[in-house]
Amino acid sequence: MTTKSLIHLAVRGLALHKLRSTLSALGIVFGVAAVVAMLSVGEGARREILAEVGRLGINRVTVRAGSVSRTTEVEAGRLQSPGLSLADAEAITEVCRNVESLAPIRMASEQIANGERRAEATIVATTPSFARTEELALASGRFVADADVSDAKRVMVLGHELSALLFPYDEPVGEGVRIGEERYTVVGALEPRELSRQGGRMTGRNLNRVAFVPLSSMPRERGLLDEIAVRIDDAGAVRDSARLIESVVRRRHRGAVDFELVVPQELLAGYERARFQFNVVVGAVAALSLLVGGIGIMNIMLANVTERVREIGIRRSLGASRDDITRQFLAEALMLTTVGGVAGVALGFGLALGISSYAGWPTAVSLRAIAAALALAAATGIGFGLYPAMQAARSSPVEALRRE
Amino acid sequence: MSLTPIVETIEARRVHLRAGKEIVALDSVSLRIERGSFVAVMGRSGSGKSTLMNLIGCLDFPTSGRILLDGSDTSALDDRAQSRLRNRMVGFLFQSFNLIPQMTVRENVETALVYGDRPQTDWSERSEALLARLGILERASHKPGELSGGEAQRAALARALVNGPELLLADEPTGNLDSRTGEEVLELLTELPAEGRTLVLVTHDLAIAERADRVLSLSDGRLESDRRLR
Repeated sequence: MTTKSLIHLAVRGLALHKLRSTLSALGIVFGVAAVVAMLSVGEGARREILAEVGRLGINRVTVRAGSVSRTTEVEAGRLQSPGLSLADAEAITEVCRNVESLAPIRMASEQIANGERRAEATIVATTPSFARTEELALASGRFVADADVSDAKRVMVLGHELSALLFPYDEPVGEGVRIGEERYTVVGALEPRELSRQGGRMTGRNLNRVAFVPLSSMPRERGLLDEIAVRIDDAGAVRDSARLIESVVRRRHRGAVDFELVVPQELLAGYERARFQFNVVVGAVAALSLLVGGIGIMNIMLANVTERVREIGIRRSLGASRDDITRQFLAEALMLTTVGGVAGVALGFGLALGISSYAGWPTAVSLRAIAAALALAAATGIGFGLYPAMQAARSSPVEALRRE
Repeated sequence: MSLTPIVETIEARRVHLRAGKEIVALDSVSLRIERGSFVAVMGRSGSGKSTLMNLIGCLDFPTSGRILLDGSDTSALDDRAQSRLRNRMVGFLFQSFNLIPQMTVRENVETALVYGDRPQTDWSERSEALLARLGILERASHKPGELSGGEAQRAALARALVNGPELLLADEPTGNLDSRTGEEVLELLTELPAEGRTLVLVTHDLAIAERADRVLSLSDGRLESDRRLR
């Protein structure tokens, strides 16, 4: 029997009971739709997290000064921790071989003024390597240079929003601005930077509202810093490097926990763990719904077989082998679940779009999810269609033909 | 034409188990059927006529003894080979036609081709030629429920013959037909031996049996008599 006649037979067989076939396929439709929709939500979240981590930098490790709690603050005082300082930055560069670039950072919130125009800004005092660790893109001019730092020059690089606020009509480079009474010369302006969508710990600072100045123009006692931004040369070495950096800084701080480490890659790993749990739940729901769908398919196929015993007998008398009969009924079950699967993918796609627009969650339908759902549906057809099909093949043609 | 008989049964015995009791449907039947002959099988109901037909047609298998169909021992073949043999060698005709009610006449006829080796491109030509020969080509697109008894049995005959079998097994083919249409179908059947095909026909009707070359009588599963008429 050719595949073509097999498919033809299956279609004919199912067409005998259109309503019955449709209803039994619905179980598969909804099962597959649920799987596709849930995987889409999961995939959407994954892509967003990946993009987020991408923005923060998969190669980034940030050491942030500050005690996590009041207890650790008291503890730091008792241990006489020197605090996060330039000396820590030097120690990190010295000990950790995987440091590609490192930028010490001091921050302050100030108002910047250009004549009557004023803007609230985060002032970041740093060194030229910050441009590398953050992968900054300049719209015009240049970034803070080594000479600016060594000579404590009053120069400034403006984030995109600040340039637009302070210099709506003019090119800012070469112009002067003021912070309080101090005059700075604008030497560069940045390209707009895509913002993180979500709030919370993973969000980077809004670089569009930052003004960069040389580290030396914001002097602090004992070389204290707010942050050290480190870029690791190899994404695979980030977590080991982070551990090393933590131990170096802790030792220098005499065991005090007056700093914290932000490692986007670890956040990603945490997320991946959560995603695995999500996938297990999705998998369980999918397995359950397809089990229910499969039982429906088996039920219908058993009814079909019982009803068509005579047809089976006739076919056997015409030269159909047991295998031919098995394949015929298996093809019907497979056809039911495959058509149900395709419809389910379409419905799941629609559901994902609906969730996207209604709940505002990002969703993404991956080809892998579709392939997995269809494969599951087909497997259900074979798994639950096999018994009825074998039942059909087993019946005696003589008995079957005797039936009226 | 090969010298081996188309059918040979050797001590063929078929026992059914019903409710724990053995029922002997056919008991030690040994006979040969020559190619191109017309054999009538007679006997009361329950005498084993249908069982003999099923055994000869490779649809059922003896509990003991052997059935040789075209020289091969049917019990020794696997299901696939048995089915192939049935498809190639045997055409069945039943009292109740046994057409698949949801399919048209043409589809019913082509169902026999589905399980054969002929290329699908030849199917419609082959079945149409046969339907035309049997005078029901204009009913090809009708379903069995729309046919008269005579037409239905012709459709069933077309299906039985479409693979060009050497052996046609007809189990009371005129039993559900009035005498005139019965006679028409019978005339079509009796033409077959002239084409070299073998016809084995189960009947109650002595007048029909007398047209055969040979009449087998069964009683209680045993071969009671074997008369050659010509």
